Amino acid sequence: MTNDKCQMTNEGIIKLLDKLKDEVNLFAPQTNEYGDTSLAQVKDACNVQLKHFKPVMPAVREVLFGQVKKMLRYQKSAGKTTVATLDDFSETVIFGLPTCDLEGILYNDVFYGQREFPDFYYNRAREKLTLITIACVTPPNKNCFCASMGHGPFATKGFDLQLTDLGNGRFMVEVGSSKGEKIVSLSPGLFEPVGQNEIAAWEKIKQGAERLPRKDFIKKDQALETMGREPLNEELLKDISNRCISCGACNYTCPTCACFNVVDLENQGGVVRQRLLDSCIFSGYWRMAGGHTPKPEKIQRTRNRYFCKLVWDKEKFGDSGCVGCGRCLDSCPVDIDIKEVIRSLA
Amino acid sequence: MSEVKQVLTTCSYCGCGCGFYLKVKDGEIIGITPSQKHPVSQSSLCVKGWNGAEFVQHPDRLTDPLIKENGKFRKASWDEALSLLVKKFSQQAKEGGPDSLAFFGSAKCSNEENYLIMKLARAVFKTNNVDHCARLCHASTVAGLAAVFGSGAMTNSIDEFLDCEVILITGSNTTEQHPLIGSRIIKAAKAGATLIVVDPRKIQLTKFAKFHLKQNCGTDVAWMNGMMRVIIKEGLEDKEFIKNNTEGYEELKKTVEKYTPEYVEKITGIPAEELAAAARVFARSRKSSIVYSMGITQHTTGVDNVKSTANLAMLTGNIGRPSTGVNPLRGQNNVQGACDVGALPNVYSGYQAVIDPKNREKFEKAWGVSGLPDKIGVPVTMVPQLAIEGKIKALYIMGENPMVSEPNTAHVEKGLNALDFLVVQDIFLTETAALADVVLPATSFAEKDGTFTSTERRVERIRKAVKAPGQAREDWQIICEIATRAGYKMEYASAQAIFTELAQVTPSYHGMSYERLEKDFGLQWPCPNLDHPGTKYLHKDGKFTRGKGLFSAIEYKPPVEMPDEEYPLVLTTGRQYFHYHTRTMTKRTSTLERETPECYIEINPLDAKKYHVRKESLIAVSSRRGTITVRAKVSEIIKAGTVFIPFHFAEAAANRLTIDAFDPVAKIPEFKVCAVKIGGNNK
Repeated sequence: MTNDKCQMTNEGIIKLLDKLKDEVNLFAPQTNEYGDTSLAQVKDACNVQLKHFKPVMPAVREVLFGQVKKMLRYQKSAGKTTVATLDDFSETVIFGLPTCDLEGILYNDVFYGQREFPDFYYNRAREKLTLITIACVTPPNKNCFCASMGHGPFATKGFDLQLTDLGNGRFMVEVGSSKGEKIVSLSPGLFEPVGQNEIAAWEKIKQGAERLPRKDFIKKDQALETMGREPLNEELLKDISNRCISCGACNYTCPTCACFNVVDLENQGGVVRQRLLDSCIFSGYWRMAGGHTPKPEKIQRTRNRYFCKLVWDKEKFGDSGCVGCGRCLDSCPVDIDIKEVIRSLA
Repeated sequence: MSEVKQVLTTCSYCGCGCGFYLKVKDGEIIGITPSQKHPVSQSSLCVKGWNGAEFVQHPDRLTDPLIKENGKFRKASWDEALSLLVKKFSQQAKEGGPDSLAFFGSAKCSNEENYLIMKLARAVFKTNNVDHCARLCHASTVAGLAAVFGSGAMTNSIDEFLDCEVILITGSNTTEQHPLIGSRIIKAAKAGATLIVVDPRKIQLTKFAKFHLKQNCGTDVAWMNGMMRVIIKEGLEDKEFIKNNTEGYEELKKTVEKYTPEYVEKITGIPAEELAAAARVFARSRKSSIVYSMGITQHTTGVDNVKSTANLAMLTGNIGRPSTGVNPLRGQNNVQGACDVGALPNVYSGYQAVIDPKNREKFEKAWGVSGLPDKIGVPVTMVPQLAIEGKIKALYIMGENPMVSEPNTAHVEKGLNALDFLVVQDIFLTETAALADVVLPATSFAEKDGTFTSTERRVERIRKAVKAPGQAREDWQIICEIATRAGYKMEYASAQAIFTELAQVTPSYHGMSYERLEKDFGLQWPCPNLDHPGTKYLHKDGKFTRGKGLFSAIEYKPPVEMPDEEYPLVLTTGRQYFHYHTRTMTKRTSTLERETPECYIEINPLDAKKYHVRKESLIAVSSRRGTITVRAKVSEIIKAGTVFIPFHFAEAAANRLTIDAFDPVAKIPEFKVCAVKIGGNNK
């Protein structure tokens, strides 16, 4: 067995999942009786789909946080105030995570976890999370463009284990962290060493995936550079905001949209504080305490979203926030495509 | 370890009927995901859908039965509350006769529950006084389209809009009220379809419309007659279709003769040439579809308006094929279903008339009773007046809030207060529940099994995802217990058992079962037998349910209350994107409430200047029936001379202003037109 690579059979994976599901909260892609696929909790390992896929919701929303997260409860009784933290996240493994989702989690790691005020809830949950990704050998759907955004189809960092389908009933396993190593070492019988032949086959698959035409969809660097100095095409923005029906899906399904709203709910003499996923496409998101709304027009908010995602994220975090998963288009009722915006610039 | 499950169910807001998953972690709803494969949602939802479950576990939920004593509520046991209720209702039926009772079903509740409440009213208490809020939205559609086509529902299916060549949208702010239909109309327009929007407001769809005809409120028969005259004069009518599939054409032709574009312009304010041009575009396409909603139905001429849309479709042969038709969009998750299963005063489930002895015999046999009442019952909107007159003494309201939803609130309040006994079964203590003698805590859509029927006649499952709070019970279980206590043994093992009975007695649902509904996200009625695949569009090849399609020759009649010197503005009311009806659910959903936290009036800059209204100021608005205070939104969205107020806000209820004038046939109120002024009613 080489240090960072090994392999396992499809049956071996099922056995591993069967074991994990009894030890931790295990989430993996499963298609239900209605034909819908999602990252769902595993009850029967045989139902897990070994094909890479892309759920509607990114893993950060599906598993790490819900759309609503209860944070704390404070209660006043007999003149005394007590505050209880509501933290219910227990040890969790996500299997079959697509690369775009991993990239989303890595973004959130910085956004919530590594800035001036590290987020208690995020970091606590993140520590208990193990990520087993499956590299996207072919794009899960037509709206994918991770390769041109530099966020896929193979992950280069951040995974605990990354699996690649070798197409012969076997998966290449890359070990990316000590959490990953632990999984391998605890189930030694399921992981087998790899030889030169497998590595050659794997490299060929990897190159093939990266060479797909999607790589050339968009000239990202050029577009971002243009965007930094020139205004966005007004006609295009107008068309987008005219079409937009303000559903919020582009924010709700984006793996790197992290804005939230905090609401206190009175309940049985106490208060429960909860955090909700928010959307910058709503005007109330912008409204200030005095009632003034700095971005009253939808076109202003549309422009803001693209600048935030593509330019300001790069300034703040070193790379654009768009990982190229295409979820905003998947779930948009009027087919608004961020690629159109990027293409208009380069 | 925690358990996370995903439960597929149907959205409880508008009639689109989107499918989504409730994500439940250890008994708490933590999120919603749209279904990818669902034919309507297709991975999308609107803002209400995405935020569609926050209210479910809100701390304000009713958890115990309440009994009012000395003007104050106290908690009671189910036994105590139900004994009191049954005692009062039975006593009242004995003393004042069955028709001194009335029952309101609910477009928010399931088919099973509405079926049972009508069974409770008819089989147990022997009155046809059962109705629900369809009376306030599409009573005119049900009456109008049933008369001319034989079936009072949306003729085509939601996905067919994508292939339309021409879409005429009138009285529907589709992107706000039926967002996933609105989005398809936008996509059709982007793909080249021509949109004709006839609406006094500059709604979002006008951005894609070739024609935006801003009619004066309440002049719909006139502009449709005008269009038809142009079509006939220019020989653009579908002569084959008219000859083979319709009757009454000659009378129609004679009646519309005088509606020249110029004459129509005087009535409607629509420029003559624009009307004629739009009429030509509509008539020349073989894939022209009509979409309408409350702007057509909520008038004293509601039935006339609806029949006129049918005239227009038949005249141009645009019905009975994909991407055509007359498409009333139903506003509530299950308003179609509540009508289908007979929560109406004149019909049993499947629109089987109560006055037909054969139908009474059928239901007497099915229910094991005798002496089902043969007189048509009273509609929702007549109840306040009848209560004031002392003719209705006890009222049972399941999941409705007439104190906010019905016209002329002061009159409604007077009516409800005149009752001897009022029961309200709901999930929150609504404005109406506050007036009740007994309040029963019920369940939301996320806490029970059942079915909803969407606007495209799709019967879909809802599924229990979480436990009801406190002592709250499923609506159907409450009804069963009341019936049993009143002496009629009503017992079902599950919602499924109710559906099985319902399908047996309802021809259009006859071929449906829970097993079949599991597959392919439900079935569209009519589905008469077990092999039937359901029906995508009605009246195939011009073979109407009633035989031949019936043209209706209709003269224009003005609204009841027109502006005058004292009340110079026309008020039109409606809904707004982020809120829903009487706001009981959306005000308890943080994102939705944040977007529109208070009531407002849309007023044109010309009128704002004329009446000295400063933008964003709080102003009083009055009609002959009341005054409310609202925030002024000075905007070109509304034409001069007309103002718009959403009706969601109990704190500034638009229905304090609206008029309780009704369509003579459908008894639907004229929510869309009354006269108001800026300022108070100080004498």
